[in-house]
Order: sequence, then C-alpha cells, then structure tokens
Amino acid sequence: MHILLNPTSNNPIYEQIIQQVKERILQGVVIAGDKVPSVREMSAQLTVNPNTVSKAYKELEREGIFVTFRGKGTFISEDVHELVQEREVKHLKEQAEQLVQSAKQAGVSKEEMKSWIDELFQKGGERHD
Amino acid sequence: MIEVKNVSKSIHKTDVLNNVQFNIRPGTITGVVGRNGAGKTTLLRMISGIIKPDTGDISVDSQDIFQQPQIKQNIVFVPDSTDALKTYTIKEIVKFYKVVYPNFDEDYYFSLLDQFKFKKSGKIKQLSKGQEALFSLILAFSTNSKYILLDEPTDGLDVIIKKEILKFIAEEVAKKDVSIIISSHRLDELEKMADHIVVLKDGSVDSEIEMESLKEQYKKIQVAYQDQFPEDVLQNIEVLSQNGRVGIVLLEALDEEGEAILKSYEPILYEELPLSLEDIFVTKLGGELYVS
Repeated sequence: MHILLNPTSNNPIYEQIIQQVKERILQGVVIAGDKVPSVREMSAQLTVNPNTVSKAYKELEREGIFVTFRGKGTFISEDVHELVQEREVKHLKEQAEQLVQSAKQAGVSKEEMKSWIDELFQKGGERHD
Repeated sequence: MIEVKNVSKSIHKTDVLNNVQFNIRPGTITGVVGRNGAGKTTLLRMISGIIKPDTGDISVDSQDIFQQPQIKQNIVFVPDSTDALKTYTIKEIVKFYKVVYPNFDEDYYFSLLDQFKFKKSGKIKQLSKGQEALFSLILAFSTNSKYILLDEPTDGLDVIIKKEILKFIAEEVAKKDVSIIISSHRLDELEKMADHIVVLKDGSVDSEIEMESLKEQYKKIQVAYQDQFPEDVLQNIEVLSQNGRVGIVLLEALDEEGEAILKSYEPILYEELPLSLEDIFVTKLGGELYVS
C-alpha cells in the first residue's frame, strides 16, 4: 500500500496515514482481505516514528477497517467498503454544505444550482452506462 | 527512563550547560535541537557518561551513571565522526565492543553488514563517509543497548544513504524496545521521527515539544490588512515574516488575546497555514540572530 505524506499538511502524521488508507480503499487500490504492511515496514517506508504508525493502525483497527490476526499480520477488514463509504457520504454532505454556502455568497440561486447538478449527473450517467 | 536533573557544566570557564533538566521516556525517540554551540553534543556526551557535569545528576533507570558505571552497558553514544574507531578492522571492533557491551550480538552485527552489503574485512577508515555513518549505527544497534544517542546521524550525507539510515533507525525502534536521542539540525527529519523535542538555547532547555500535539499547540496564520500592517501586531505578536500588508504570525493555540489583537484591525485575509517544526525553531531561537 502506497502512502504519501504531505509535509505541508495541517494534519498530524498519524491522521494523514489514516486518511490515506481510507482513500486507497475507496480508490479500490486495496480491497477487503488484503494484507497491509506491518508497523515496522510502514514506518521504515515512510521513515516515520513507529509509535506514530502504531497509533494510526490502532485507530484503524478501532474503526473496524483493519483486523489483526495474531501471528499472521494485519489485513483490510471484510466489510470495509460499507464502513468507508458511509463516511465518504458524510464527507460529501459536508462539502455540499460548503458549496451551498459559497453559492449563496456568489448569488447563485437554488434553481440554477439544481440545474447544474442535473446536468452533471446526466453527463456522468452517459459515461458510465 | 533517563533523568537529567539540574545539570550544569562549564568548559574552559565558559558555561556550556546551565541547569538543564528533562526526561527521556522508554521506547521513544527524542530530538535535541538548538543552534550551533547550544550545547547539544556536550549534553549527549554527558548522558553517555563520557564527561561529568559540574553540578546536577544524570540517572539511567534510576541509577546514577557516574556512581554505578555498569549502567553504561545500556547506553551507546554515536558521535558525528568515527575517528576513534578508524584504526580497527570490521572484525576487530567486535572484540572491543564485546568487552564494553556484554550483550553485543555478533550474529546480528554480521547479518546487518550482509544486509547493507558491507565487506566483512578491512579497516573502518576505508569506508566512505556515508558507509561510515551507517556502520556506526549498525555497531550501536548490535550492542542491544536500551538507549542510543546519535549526534547528527545524517549530517553531510547524500539523500540515498540518509534515507537508508532513517529507515534503519525506524525499523530498529519498531523491532526493539529501544530509546533514541537524536541531536540534529534536520528539522524535517525530526518532525517525522521524534516523539518529543527538547529545544536547547544557550545551554538551557528553552522548551519541550510533543510532536503529536505540535500542530495543536501552535497556529500559523497568514494575515493581511487593508492599510498598513498594524504596529500593535508587530510589537505584541510573534511575527515570522511580514511584507507590506501581508504577514505570517505564530500564535499559541489557546492565545485568545493574540487572536483578538489580530482581528481587531479587521484583516482582509485571515488564513491558517500548515505549521512546521522549523517555524517553532525560528521563533524560539531566531531572535539571537539579531542580537549583537
């Protein structure tokens, strides 16, 4: 699993790791059942303090995204997609909120915005089906 | 745990360390930062029992390092150059280290040399600067000591060997229950590696920072004003840089008063920026630049 830390991020490193693991899952780069690098491998790869990686891994386990089997290693949980998707929907909703806020400031009406969204959905639909 | 208590030292009538006090928690990586001449190397040499403090105590796992010298078996100091070892061969050094460090793991030493593609014969002085740096780390980690003190481990090395060294340190810390103290000017490296930072200034501990909460302890804000940049802000807030109407300032996260000052002049821009250890370093230690 490839993780890229952003040194100019406002988020602490362990949060960046958590965030990127989730992104990789949503992108389909890693899927349920995949083995993830050990804390040691990951900290060497990122040249990051192992305590930091371990903290991120614990949180991912707590959220049910990682599962660890003793002696076998750490894996992406089987029901990970739902978990991450749920959170993604929530995140989208927050983005929508911001978008509406900006639209109000820019004087864009609800109807105008709805028509954009309809248009975009249609375009997307054509491409996918 | 290493406890440094009220340690002072003067060398040639110059105060090098002045009432230094901090702790090293087990299993953590501590970064010691400070400008050149702040006393970092002296401090590391003292913790490893090479030089004695004039006053104060240093204890390792509750044992005084100068009264119970056997505790030194648990401490390795890796200086920024290996001049002292140069005349030994890669094999001879093992005998020497085994005397000083009874827990020295010879098999592990040679397996690491294999892993990093070292020749197993020849003198240490034949190694290149980068190999030498890596070699002294291999030697240090083979002692199975609980505490490893590194004086500028990546200073003057090319990026590839540097990355290799940092990787090696990270792996060792993950594998073993070892505590590391690193003195370094490479703040970007420490930012990723350290749990805890001790900032030395003129021989004293200026501040200690928990890396995890660094980004919660301070805020870096870009702020711009319609007219002139207010004098009040320049005087009363830590301004990292300022150019015309725009300035970048550093605030402690809970400094509501500072925030109020910034906002009272109705900024036309007020934006939080990513914070790095370098910002803290410049703020805490940069002032000296303009003195004298």
